[in-house]
Amino acid sequence: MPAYRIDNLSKQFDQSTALDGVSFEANAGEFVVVLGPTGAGKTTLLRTIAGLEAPSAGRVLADGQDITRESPAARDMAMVFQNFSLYPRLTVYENLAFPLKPRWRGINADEINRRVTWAAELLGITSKLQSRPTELSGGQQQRVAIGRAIVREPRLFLFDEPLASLDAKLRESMAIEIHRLQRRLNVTMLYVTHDQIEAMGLADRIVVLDKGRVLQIGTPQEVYAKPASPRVARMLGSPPINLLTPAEFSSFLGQPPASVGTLGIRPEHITLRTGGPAKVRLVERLGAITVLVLNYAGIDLRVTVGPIVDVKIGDDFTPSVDPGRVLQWGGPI
Amino acid sequence: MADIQIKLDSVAKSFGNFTAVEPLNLSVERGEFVVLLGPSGCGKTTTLRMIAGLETPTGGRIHVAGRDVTDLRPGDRDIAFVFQMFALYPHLTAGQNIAFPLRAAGVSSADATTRVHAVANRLGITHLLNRKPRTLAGGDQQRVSLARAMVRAPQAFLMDEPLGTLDADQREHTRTQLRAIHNELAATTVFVTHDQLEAMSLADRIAIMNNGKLLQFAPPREIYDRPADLFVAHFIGSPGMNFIHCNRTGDNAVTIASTTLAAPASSNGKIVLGIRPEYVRITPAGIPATVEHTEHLGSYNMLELKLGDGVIKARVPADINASSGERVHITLDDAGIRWFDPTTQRAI
Repeated sequence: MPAYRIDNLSKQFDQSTALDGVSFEANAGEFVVVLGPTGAGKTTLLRTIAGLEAPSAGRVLADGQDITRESPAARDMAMVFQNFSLYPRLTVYENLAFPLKPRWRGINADEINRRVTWAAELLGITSKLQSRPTELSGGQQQRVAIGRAIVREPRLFLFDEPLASLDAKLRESMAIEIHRLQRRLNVTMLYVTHDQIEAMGLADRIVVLDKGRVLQIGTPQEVYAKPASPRVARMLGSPPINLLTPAEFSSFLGQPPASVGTLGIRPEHITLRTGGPAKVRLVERLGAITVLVLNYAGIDLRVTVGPIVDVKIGDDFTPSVDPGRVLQWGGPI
Repeated sequence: MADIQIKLDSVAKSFGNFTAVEPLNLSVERGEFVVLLGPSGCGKTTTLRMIAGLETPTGGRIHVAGRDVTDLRPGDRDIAFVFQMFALYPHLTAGQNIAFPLRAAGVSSADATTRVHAVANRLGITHLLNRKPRTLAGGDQQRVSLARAMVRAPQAFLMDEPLGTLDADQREHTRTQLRAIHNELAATTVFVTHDQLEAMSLADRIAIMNNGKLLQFAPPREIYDRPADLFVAHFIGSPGMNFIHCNRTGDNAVTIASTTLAAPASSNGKIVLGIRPEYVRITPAGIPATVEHTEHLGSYNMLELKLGDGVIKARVPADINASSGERVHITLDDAGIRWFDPTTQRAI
C-alpha cells in the first residue's frame, strides 16, 4: 500500500485552474520532488495535500484512508515553508517544542524534552537552543524550521521551496543536509522546487508539473534520459538541451533521424572537430565544464566541453552527434 | 598601462562597532566586467553602494574615470545603477522607456530621440521602439532595459543581483545574453552576486569577499584553479573543492588512507590536500574508498565517497554507476592537487 496517494486532484480559483487532474503516489520512505516553474501549481498542490486548501475535485489518501475532508491537524503531516515562519519572541527550544504543546496531542513534558533535544542534536543546533531566531543565520533558522517538523514525527513531510530564500552556496549545503536527514530517518518526503539541480540531486522520483498538469513522473535518470516532451526536456539539464527542427538539425549535424517533429540533443552529447561551418559565439567557463555556444546560419547550438579548452570567440568547428543519442518527439518545439 | 575606470583606494565602511568593509583596494579597467562575489553579509553590496554614492565610506577615496567622486552625490557621478533587468514601465513604449532617464534629466525631446535611436541601433532593437514591453520576448525586454541604462552613456554600470528574481532556467538564459551583450559593448560593469556560477560565467575578473575582506581578485579560471585560501576553494565550484586532512609521515610526504603522496612543507607540519570533484577518478587500483551515495545529475554522476575519516565527492561520467556501500579505488589526478596550510588557511 502506498504511503500516500494523490487521486485526480483539481483546484479551481475563480477563473483559473491551479491543478488539473493531478495523480501520483509514493511509498513509505520515498523522497518525491515536484518540479515546475513559477505558477505551475506546486504550492497549491502542497497546500491541498496538507488540508490548507480544499480541492475542487479528487482525493488525498494516506495509508489507504481518504483524508480529503480531514482538518489539517488531523492529517499528521508537517510542512516546512520558504520563509521559515518561526516565532521571533520564542527561543529556539520553545519554537521546537511549540508544535508538541497542544494538550490534545497528549505528549508529556519529558517526551517533549526528549524530542526537542534529539532534533536539535540531529540538526546541529544544540548550542543555539536558548537563542532567539533573529540571532541566527538564515541556514540556522531553516534548521529550526525543519526541526519543528521533525519533532512531530509526522507520517509525511511537505517542503515548500524551503531553500529558495537562501544564498546559492548555503542552498547547496542545506540540500545535502535534508537529503542525509531523510535517508537517516527514513521518512516520507514531498518537496516542491523550481530548481532542477535540487530536484535531480534530492529525488527518488520527480513529478514534473506545469500549468497544473503532470507532464511526467520518473526517477531523475529516466526523466533526464527520456523526457516525455520537449517541454520536459528543457526543464531538466544545465546547460539546457538543444531543441531543433529536422531542417535545422540537417543544416550542420547531417542527416536527421526523423523528418518531422522535434529533435533534442543534450550539450554533452555533441563532439567537435576543428574547422568547419559553425562559429563560436560565446564561451562560458564554469569550472568543471566549459559551455560553448556555436552558431551556424542563425541557429545556436550549446556544446559542453572539458574545463581546460583553448577556444575563443570566432573559432570554427564541425559538430557531430551519435544518432543513438538524439531524442525525438512528434510535436513541435 | 591599462586604463583604470574605477579605483577604490583603501575604501572602508563601519556601522558603529560593526565593520562592513575593511580597507579595500580594487581597480576596474575600462571595459572590464568585474563581479563582487560572496555570501550574505560579506560586504559586497555595501561596496557597490559606496561606488554608487548610496553609502558614504568611513575611510578611503573612490575614483571614477580619473575623477575623485567620494564627496559627490549619486546623480553627479555619471554611473548607471541597474537594479533589475526587467523593470520596464508597462504603459510606455520601448522607445519611451529608453528615453525616460533623458527626459527626467531635462534633455529636449528632439535630442532624446536622436540618442534613443543611436543606442537602439547599437543593440539592434530599432524595429521594436514602438512596441509595449509586454509584447516583447524576454531577451528583447532585456535589451530595452539595457538600452535605457546605456542611453545616458555613463562611465560605468553597477548591477546589484539583477538576475535574482528570475526563475532558474530564465536566469541561465539571461546570464548568457548579458555576457553576449557585454562582449559587443564592452561597457565597464561592476556586478554583485552570491551565485558563484553566475560570477564564473560573467566576469572578466572576480573579487571574492568574506567578512568584509577581499580574499582574491583574479580571472574566474585562476580563482577556480588556484584559490588563494580554503574559503575561496570551497565557495567556488558546485560542490566546492574537497579537503583531505593528511597525516604527515615526513617533511615531504603525507599518507591518505595508507597511501603515500609527496607533499610540500607547511608551517607546523599540518597540511590539507584540496582537490576538485572532477579530478577524483575511479580507477582499477589506487586509494581504497567506500561509496556512500550517488547523485544522478543527468549529464554526470556525483559520488559521495568515504575516504579514511573524511568524505569527498567525485564527479564521474553518467555511465559510471556505483551502489552505496560498494568498495572502489580512486586516483587523485596530480593536475588537480592543491595544498593548504590549515593554520593560516592560505594556499601553499
